[in-house]
Amino acid sequence: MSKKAENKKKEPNKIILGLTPYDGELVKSLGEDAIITFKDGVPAFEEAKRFTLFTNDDIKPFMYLKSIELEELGFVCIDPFLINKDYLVKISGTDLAQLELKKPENALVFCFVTVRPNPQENTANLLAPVIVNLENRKAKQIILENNPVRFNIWEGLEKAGEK
Amino acid sequence: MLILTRKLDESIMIGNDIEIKVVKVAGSQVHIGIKAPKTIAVYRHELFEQVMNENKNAVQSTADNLNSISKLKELLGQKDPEK
Repeated sequence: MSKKAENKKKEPNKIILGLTPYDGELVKSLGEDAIITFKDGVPAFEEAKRFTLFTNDDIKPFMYLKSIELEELGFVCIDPFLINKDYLVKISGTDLAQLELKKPENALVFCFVTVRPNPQENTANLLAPVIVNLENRKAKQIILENNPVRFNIWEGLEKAGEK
Repeated sequence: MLILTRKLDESIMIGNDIEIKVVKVAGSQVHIGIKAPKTIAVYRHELFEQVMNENKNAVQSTADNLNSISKLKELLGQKDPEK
């Protein structure tokens, strides 16, 4: 019971998502009026449960997640795989059950961007990506331990470009 | 907050199915074992706090946000990392 490995042993039905090409079409296919539901809200904004997500050629590759309940609340988002090719998303059985997510291809993953006055200092929160089940539009911000809460997007894009 | 005193290897039950056990005490470090159903998420508190704080940092008004995106886009278009 005291061994660390014990925790890892039993998580039978988790999904691991690796590099997927950014697909703005996927987001567009949701439609601007498609409502994404966070059952428990977004941490720190628990009252905000319903959002719309959109992207277009002007803001691509970024996306914008806009709250329906709180007019002024919104998050700039980015596909984490675009800025970090080594990023791995392991969705636990608990989260899968909550999202009713059964197939990896139904998952849309994005991370919140913290925008700073100097755009080169903008960071993405890789610690807590948002997973959307495209089938039922249920969403959750999950926690992936050992990932940075502030990942520099600029540097990430440069590195990704080099490869 | 309810405060209970426990010795090494003693545990606490929360409801019928969550057990929290003191597994090891070494100086100021306490190792805690947690047995809980899969439907219960268990995180270190500071992790969750980090996420909440960063979510707050990430929020700006819609207008500001869209503005920043276009700024960032311009920069990305440059592709030149200097300055």
